[in-house]
Amino acid sequence: MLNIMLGDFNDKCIINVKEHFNLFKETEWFSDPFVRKVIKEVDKSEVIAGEYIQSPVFGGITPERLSSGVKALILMKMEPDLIVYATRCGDNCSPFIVELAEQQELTIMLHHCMTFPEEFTARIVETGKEVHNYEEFIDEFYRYKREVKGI
Amino acid sequence: MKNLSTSSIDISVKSKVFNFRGSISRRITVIRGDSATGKTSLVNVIKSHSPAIQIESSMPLIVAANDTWKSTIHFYTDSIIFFDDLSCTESKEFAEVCSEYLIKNNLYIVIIGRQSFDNFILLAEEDRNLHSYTKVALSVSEIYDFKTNGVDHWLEPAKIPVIDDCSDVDCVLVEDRGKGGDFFENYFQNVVKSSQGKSQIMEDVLKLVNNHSKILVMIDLAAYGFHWEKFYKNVLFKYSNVFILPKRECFEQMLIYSNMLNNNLIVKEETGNLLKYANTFNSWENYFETLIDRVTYKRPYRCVHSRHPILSDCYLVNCSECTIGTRITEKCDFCYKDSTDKLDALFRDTEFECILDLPRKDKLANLDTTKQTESLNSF
Repeated sequence: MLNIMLGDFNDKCIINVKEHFNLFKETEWFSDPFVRKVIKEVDKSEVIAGEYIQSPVFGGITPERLSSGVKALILMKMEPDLIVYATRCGDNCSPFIVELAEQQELTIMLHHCMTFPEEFTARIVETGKEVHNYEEFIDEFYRYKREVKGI
Repeated sequence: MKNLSTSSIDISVKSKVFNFRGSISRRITVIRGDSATGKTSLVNVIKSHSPAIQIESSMPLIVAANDTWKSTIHFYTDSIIFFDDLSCTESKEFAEVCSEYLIKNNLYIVIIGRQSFDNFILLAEEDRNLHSYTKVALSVSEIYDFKTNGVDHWLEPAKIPVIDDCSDVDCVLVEDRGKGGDFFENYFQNVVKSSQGKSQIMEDVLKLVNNHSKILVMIDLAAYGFHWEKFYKNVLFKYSNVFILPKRECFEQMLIYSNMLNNNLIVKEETGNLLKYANTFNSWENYFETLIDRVTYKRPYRCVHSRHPILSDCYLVNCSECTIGTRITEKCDFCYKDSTDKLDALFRDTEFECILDLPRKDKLANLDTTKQTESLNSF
């Protein structure tokens, strides 16, 4: 299940995704099929072995040079107890967020109205409302902002 | 008159593996877009100060950090500062410091991020209550997607569904309840004035959208950037019958670009270099309001921005119906006094010529107005 938090940052939230990833990544993460998939499909790069990644633009790179969005996706997969700030992800990451949430319980924080696939399911943590498609998410996102934040 | 887009700071970055070309025009630029397009790479390239990288820009490029951003804004001057996915850009303090220092220190900031800018919106509410412009604004035209083909990178403007044919518009919604609202109501059919202006115009559109086949929304794009995502997601994404008038900064800018004023020497000088003149204000909306005040001073077609504005008849009626008096009209320098269509005289062959096709009050229209009238009455 995908749980989406819309409120203020808290202690469990990884806001500085790049810095957290760079400090705490582990070599074995890059053997994970989901991790290899998002590196290939979002960053157009390939894990060769260990932390050696082949980029079509930069050649051989280390994981520090992956995009912020991919780092966020990897953290969502490998550190499921933490709440990743998914506003660091572009819209091209949202299908992978949805896919991951079908495999494991996942909680993310969002401070923007991310574009999700047309049909997906998520629960808004602050209101408890379950949304079943992108339009419902838009409505609930802005209803929360209007009623709680007055915006 | 020069196109607005020629008033900008061009930035060019060239290296073996990373090239970028882009321009910024206003105090705040927002860059967003898909992951892995090279936004952080651009910032890293700028930070590297490597001799292998050619950077061309008429201002120094600085990269801010989360723990030193405040001192960066306080102490740098005449620079462009990049904020790459920094959480500080979501704080109230950041919005306040920007409002205080961007003009004072002649700074331009580029925010790479996708957040909703609630901090700036809440701060701007203070301005609304005071009818002032002390807080910095974001223009819709300065929101960009970052694009790449691998090595080359560039900026693409945010998607705006612009109108190409105004003749079948059956509702014109105007953000401005004052002079702008009066102007459109004077000339056009089916005009609705927004109930609360900028912050509420989205709600106004949603009340009208199901009862009209084509709605033209007159938003002041110069200061609507912080509200744009909300408007796009709730209106433009869901409804295909809502359009925006392109390049409209505010009502006063439309009049500045009209044939009444576009040949004025001050207008020609300043609109040819908006980077220099308009960026001395927190919002270009504020700039155009003061510009029209200056260039119409002691003219029959005086236009002043105030809390209780009255639009001069010079913009509303044909010159042949002018009641100001012969002594004044003889001194009037408007070139189209013989025209029998003031609206046409104002906007023919200008940036906003398309509004001449909107259904006019003084011309026959072939619209079923019953449904629209009921909708407008209930609004």
